[in-house]
Amino acid sequence: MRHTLAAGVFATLATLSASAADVSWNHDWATAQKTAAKSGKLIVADFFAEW
Amino acid sequence: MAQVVPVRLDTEKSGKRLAAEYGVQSLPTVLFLDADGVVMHQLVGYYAPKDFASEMSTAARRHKDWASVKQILKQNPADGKANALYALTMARNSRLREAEKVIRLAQRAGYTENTLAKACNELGDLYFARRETAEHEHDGHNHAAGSATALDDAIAFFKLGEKYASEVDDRAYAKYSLMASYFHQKRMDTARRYAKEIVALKGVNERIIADAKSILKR
Repeated sequence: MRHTLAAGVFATLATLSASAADVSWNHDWATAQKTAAKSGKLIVADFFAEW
Repeated sequence: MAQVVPVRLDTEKSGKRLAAEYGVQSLPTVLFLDADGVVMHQLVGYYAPKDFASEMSTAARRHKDWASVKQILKQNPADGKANALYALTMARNSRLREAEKVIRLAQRAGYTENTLAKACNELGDLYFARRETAEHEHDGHNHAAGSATALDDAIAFFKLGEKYASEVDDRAYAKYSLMASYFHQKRMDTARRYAKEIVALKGVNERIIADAKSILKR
């Protein structure tokens, strides 16, 4: 289920991107915030746990 | 990435503090936030890509509106519509006091449109949830009083929601919430009155109608 969701989110983000290669996940909240503040973009935060 | 900043946060590791801060209780959870950490939208559970894309459009629209609201309020802090949208966002972020204060500003500006109904309904939900929390705090001495006060506050905001709702879904939600609140207060005559009004509404979710009918049978 966890991996299915990540794949779904990734696929969706990729379709919204000009190039799927542009899709890369941040793993750090502070960096994501900084990037969003600079660009005015929306943050999509996927909360997960490795089971 | 053209339009969003994607971030994956491990709730057992670096994302632990943030998950607690945002009250993430079940996984998967996806939050859509602005750069200040204000939540625009949230998804709990699995969403197929097509449904996810649709929810993301909702989040993107709210994000755009939120940026305009902040801009408008900078220029005119008394703007009714912007205050109503601000209140709605604060309520969705469980920032109860701030939402309440801003609802008053929207009212003072003479704003009476449906956005205000949505904000009042969200705020009513927060107070209703607070009643549940108070009811489960068995170790405190004042849990019964706290629960009753929260329910009265919830009713006050659902009544405002009912008053300002011009869209049937929001009107039905306000009436449904009033029915549930009065049911909890054991004021069955009033709960039944709202149930009758819900059944008479057209174009309302079937589950809401079914619940209203079950109250009428009691």
